[in-house]
Amino acid sequence: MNQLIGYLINGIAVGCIYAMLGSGLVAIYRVTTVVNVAQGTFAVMGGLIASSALSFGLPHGLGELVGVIAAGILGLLVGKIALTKGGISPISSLVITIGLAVAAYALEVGLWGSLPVSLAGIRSVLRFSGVAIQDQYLLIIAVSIVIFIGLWAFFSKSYIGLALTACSSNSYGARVMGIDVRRMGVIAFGLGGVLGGLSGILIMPVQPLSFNSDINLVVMGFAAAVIGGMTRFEYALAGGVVLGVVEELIAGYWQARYQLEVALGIVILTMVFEGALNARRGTAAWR
Amino acid sequence: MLEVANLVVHYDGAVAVDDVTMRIENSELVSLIGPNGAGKSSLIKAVAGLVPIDGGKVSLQGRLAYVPEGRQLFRDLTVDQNLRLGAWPNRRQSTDYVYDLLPEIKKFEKRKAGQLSGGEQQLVAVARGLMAKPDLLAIDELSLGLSPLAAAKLVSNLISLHESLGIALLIVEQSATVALKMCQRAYVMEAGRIVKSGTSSELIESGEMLDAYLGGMGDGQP
Amino acid sequence: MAIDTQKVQEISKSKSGSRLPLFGAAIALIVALLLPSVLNSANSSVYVYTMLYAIVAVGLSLLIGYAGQVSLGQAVFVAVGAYTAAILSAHGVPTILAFILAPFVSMMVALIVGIPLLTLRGNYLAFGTLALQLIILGVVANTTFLGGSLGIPSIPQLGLTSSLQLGSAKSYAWLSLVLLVGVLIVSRNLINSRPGRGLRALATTEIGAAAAGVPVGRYRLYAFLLSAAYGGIAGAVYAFFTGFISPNSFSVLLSIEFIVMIMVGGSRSIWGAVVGAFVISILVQVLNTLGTLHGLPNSMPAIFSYAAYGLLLVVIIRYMPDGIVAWFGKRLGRLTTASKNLD
Ligand SMILES: Nc1ncnc2c1ncn2[C@@H]1O[C@H](COP(=O)(O)OP(=O)(O)OP(=O)(O)O)[C@@H](O)[C@H]1O
Ligand SMILES: [Mg+2]
Repeated sequence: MNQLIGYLINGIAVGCIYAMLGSGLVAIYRVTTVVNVAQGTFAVMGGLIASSALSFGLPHGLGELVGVIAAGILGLLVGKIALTKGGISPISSLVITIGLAVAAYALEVGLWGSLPVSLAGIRSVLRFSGVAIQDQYLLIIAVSIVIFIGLWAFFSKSYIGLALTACSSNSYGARVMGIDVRRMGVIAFGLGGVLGGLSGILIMPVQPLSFNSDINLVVMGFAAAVIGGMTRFEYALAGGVVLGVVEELIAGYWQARYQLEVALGIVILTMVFEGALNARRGTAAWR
Repeated sequence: MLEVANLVVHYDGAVAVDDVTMRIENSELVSLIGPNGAGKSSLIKAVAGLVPIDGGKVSLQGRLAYVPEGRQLFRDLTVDQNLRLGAWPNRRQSTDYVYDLLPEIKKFEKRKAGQLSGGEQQLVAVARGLMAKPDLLAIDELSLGLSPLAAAKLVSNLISLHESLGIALLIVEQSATVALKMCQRAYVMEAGRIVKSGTSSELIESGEMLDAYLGGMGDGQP
Repeated sequence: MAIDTQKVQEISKSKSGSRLPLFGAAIALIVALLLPSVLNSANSSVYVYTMLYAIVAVGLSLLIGYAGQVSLGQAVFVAVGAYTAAILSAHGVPTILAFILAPFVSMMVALIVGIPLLTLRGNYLAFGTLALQLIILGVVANTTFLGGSLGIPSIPQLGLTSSLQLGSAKSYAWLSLVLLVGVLIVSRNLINSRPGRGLRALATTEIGAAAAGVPVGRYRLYAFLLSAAYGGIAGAVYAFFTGFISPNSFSVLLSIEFIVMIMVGGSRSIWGAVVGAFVISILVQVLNTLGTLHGLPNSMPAIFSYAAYGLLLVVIIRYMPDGIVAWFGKRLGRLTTASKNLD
């Protein structure tokens, strides 16, 4: 029982990370219908830059902030490159984001080497009635709650959030209102960058990241997002948490080595099932 | 207010607007009539900068708001949120302004735009256009999908707006009767060209109007 | 990768219109035939890899360029072919038989995963194939029978008959050239057949193709199976040639390399895939030479190739979406018409 509580909390925390990555993908997809393969890159770059900022002597908090801001700027850049002025198909933009993710490897290996890099987080451990939980996991959950409330407020209350939603609801209508849809897409990429950077600095203390961790991160983020049909943040949160908990339970009660495979299997099944459902309804969820 | 000179618009080589010249004075009520595919929407879209211009000139003094064909509301957003976006990028613009002008939409300000009836949506679309505080409001397919009663109500609403605010209106209509009754002047478009223009009473009296319009229906498609 | 009708028609026109491409192909073939006899063993390896890359890339271009489906996990079928060859020959199956079975096993895996996966489109299919590759590589890395993450060492050489063993890089070079030519012939015939025309219609508009009576789902599956078979062939040769395989040999990056190749060469024709494989192999060699120059850190070759792959992909998609062949072709065409006008 106590063990179960431990697994659940760790699972929820890891799931929040997936949800954060997934929300970045959702933010971008809603406006642009592009799946951003470089989403994992934002996490890795954000984490690596934060680790360097800390080692240059910036205090905790500030160092992490530098990483997140850098990831946001990276997001804007990726968006600017992936969304051409003339407009290209979403799948072409997807391939551009692959290219940028690979190009980022060169930078990451060149500056930080190819070994996993860790980040100092909260080292303390919470113990109660036989359960030991690293406080970093609790921090992840707490920060995630704040972030998701922030996301909700941003999209429902702020004017620019409203415009982003308008672009996803009806991009021609948005153009008629004089909203520059490509620019909104770039802003969405920036938001994706911030969310990716946040997930990077939060996960790195418990799970060191190397340059090629990005693939697993983006795939798990995509998994969380896809469970929510790529368009709803709250579903992405739910999807991420489910995946995280399933992973931890598999690792805890069965075998750690199959946790990723099972989670990915769930995702494929979800997509296929959703596709079959949509086909029956006669709507196309894919673009 | 608006001057269009020798405007040309192509789509992949096909001509949609062919050497069109027209003008609208301040606070004028003008209609644009013509059969399907005549190029009416293309003309307004070019004026609004939504399609590229392939020739000629458009000069506009003041602000233009375009109420597009098919209304193009943001269905997942509430009416109030739709209205706020009408003022883009001016986030401080209060929606009270249009609620005062069109009190009937205040009733459903919190509802999702996608859940409204066609007539209600058209009203919201017009209101969203007004949020930009335009000097010229161009409305594409004003009465499409509306019952005659709803159309008449919308027309009277618009006329009172025109009278109280002094904005100029450009109304695109398929129904020549509605358009001519409502507006002072009209342009008739066919196959990308302006084939007739004049005051509404001139056009009605000449009797050609109805013939031209009906005649254009059959072979209107270029 | 922007897919539209006009371009596809252009290609089919140019194919029937001129003898020049055929002439060029004949010259390329003669050069390719003679090349292994003059190359040293290191360069022969490069030659083998180039041919194998091209085989996989041709399959992927059938899938992307003709069937309009993006697979980000193509390396998985290469892996299946390689593991089939390695495991079977380790268990006493004659290598030639293992070699022949490899593409069929790849196809079988493709059939099993393809039926559900191919219900997906666009972004979802791309991620589905990527996820599939991660799953299969993960399972391989955790299965002792398959060598685990350490892989399978000392795979025997391919023996065509009991007396004729391939030993030198040279012999693998000729073998892989023959295989590539075979793959190209099969693909070309397929493209010009009725199903091939159906496939091309698929890439342009799926709904249109379905309305025209093309059995869309079946053709898409065929393209997927064929591309998997090509991957299997290349994987088997790779296993025999290098004598060692591990999950790391078939990373996601390899799948991305295949994408880079067909984007560089042009995804709308199988020749583009060959050109892409060739260009990328040469480029990687050049970068390797530069990266291993005296005084540079060990990671330099890797850094160079990451940068090259990534930036190439971006530049190609943004500025030469039909690949370098079409890009140069267009400019050359403009030049020749300009000079004609001068006459
Ligand atoms: N996006 C487009 N691409 C290609 N052709 C177009 C496009 N939009 C309009 N056209 C063509 O341009 C011509 C003019 O169309 P337009 O929409 O301007 O007509 P309209 O007068 O508004 O017709 P309706 O009364 O039916 O709305 C038509 O022949 C139409 O087929
Ligand atoms: Mg119209």
